[in-house]
Amino acid sequence: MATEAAAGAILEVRDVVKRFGGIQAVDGASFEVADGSITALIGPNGAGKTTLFNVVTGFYPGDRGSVVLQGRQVFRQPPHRIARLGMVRTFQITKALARMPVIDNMTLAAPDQPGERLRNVVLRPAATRRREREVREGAIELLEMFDLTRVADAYAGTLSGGQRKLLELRARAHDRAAAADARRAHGRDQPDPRHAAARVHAAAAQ
Amino acid sequence: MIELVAAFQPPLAVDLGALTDLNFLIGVVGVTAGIYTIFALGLQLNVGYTGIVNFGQAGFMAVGAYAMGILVVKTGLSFWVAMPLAIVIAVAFGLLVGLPSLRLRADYLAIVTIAAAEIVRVLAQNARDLTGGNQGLSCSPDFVCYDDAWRDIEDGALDWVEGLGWADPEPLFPLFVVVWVTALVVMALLYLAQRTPWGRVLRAVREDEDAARALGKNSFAYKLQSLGISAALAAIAGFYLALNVASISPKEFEPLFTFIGYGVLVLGGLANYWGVAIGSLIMWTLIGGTRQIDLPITDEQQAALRFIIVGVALILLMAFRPQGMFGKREEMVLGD
Ligand SMILES: Nc1ncnc2c1ncn2[C@@H]1O[C@H](COP(=O)(O)OP(=O)(O)OP(=O)(O)O)[C@@H](O)[C@H]1O
Ligand SMILES: [Mg+2]
Repeated sequence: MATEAAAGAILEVRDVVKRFGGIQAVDGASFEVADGSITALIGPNGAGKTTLFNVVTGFYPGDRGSVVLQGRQVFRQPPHRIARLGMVRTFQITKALARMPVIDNMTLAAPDQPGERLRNVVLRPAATRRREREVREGAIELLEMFDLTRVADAYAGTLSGGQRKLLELRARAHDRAAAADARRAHGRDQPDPRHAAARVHAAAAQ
Repeated sequence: MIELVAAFQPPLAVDLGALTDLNFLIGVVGVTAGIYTIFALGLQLNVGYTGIVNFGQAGFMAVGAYAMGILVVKTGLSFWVAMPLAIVIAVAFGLLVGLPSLRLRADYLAIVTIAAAEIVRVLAQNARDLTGGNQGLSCSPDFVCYDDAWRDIEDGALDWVEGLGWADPEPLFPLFVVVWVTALVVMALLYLAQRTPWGRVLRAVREDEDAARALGKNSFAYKLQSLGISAALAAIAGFYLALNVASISPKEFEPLFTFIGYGVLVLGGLANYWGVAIGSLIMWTLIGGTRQIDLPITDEQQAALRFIIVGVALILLMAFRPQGMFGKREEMVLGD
């Protein structure tokens, strides 16, 4: 869509190849996602869209090609590492964490929670608690936005399909929270949370 | 269940008095239930909170117990140094088993852990120079025993309670206290850990590993940690087991004991640490109680009867309270 120069691209995918035994699922796919854009990947069933998404997000190791996310080569990196660089994805089959409360589904998405390491739970309890408070605030704000406040303490498995899909967009929580942090830190409105939303839309197009 | 058996067989002499005596409550049920509480708390962390199926807990317990015993008896190391070393060895063994298999689907870990546990047990049966084989491991030729340090403490503790006015105290009372204090401390720590962001990630991994990875969590590392902690708890349970028996021998570590641990989980309920203690107490009251009852049948028949009763109890529980004593019903019916 956006016809900006490559410099404006937050995601550059080049010549990605992935085969499963005899099936050539992805055969040299290339595309770019411009910052702030909504980009769609379309094709008939079995065209290899999901496979390409899995290679781009690290869930499948690609055979060949390159994936550059915000200037960093992430091809064949493990998914959790790519996710930490800001790659946000959902799944074709919605993955809400059914036996966890909605609020936990939200707070889980926050990056940079030192308390996710057992060591820090013991050694840095204050930092863990401080971050947890921020994360919770952001999560509650988002639940309000999605109109999910009433069900915050319900198991995610009890939500409707549509509500679950909204919940899966929880990854926005951390982008917004990070943007808010950055604003506070720099004292200006620099990173626009709408960028994050655009990124989510790009991922959700899967 | 015990009363039920009695009620159905009124003409037979059933000595129910045995069930209320202190030796039974503290020695047979109390100590063993406490040991298996610690043992099954590790399983609860794995199965209830991380979603990984560890069928090798008896093997990790064996590694802990044998490592401690061998270090004390064969190398002359102090009991107090041998214990932490044995925990390190058991954890290392757990990680070794987990490293190749935790990347694969859940059932592979189940297969690999049960195989690893059997390898440990068969090794223990055959490496006689080191483990004493089926005779078991207790003392060196010059009478250095793995439980020397504990016996001193135990004697001191028994003298002390006798001084307090308990004439002829139950000899297993000191072990009973230490085991249950340990179990409660472990329970409290696990309970607190489960409420931290770390615990939240574990539960996310249990729900959906891929979703957790898509959110930037290294699912594999969390599963390894869960298995490592569980192996450490199995090792601690193994030390107490060793102190509760005359010698460390392979028959204490049969796969059966891992499944008794799973029975404890089912009884107490999944994803609940307090339920583990209750489940273990019920389990060992059933197993121990049927041993105490004096029925006119052979020992083998009575041994079989024990597990029939345990099995019936589990079936009844599944029928009337499938979530276990403390499990949450919602958590059973939800899920994708
Ligand atoms: N894990 C796998 N192992 C083997 N073959 C696979 C695997 N995943 C996908 N394929 C094959 O790769 C091809 C592309 O599948 P993919 O799921 O990427 O299509 P898609 O474009 O997402 O289709 P849809 O629109 O139906 O979701 C198909 O032929 C599929 O059978
Ligand atoms: Mg698809």
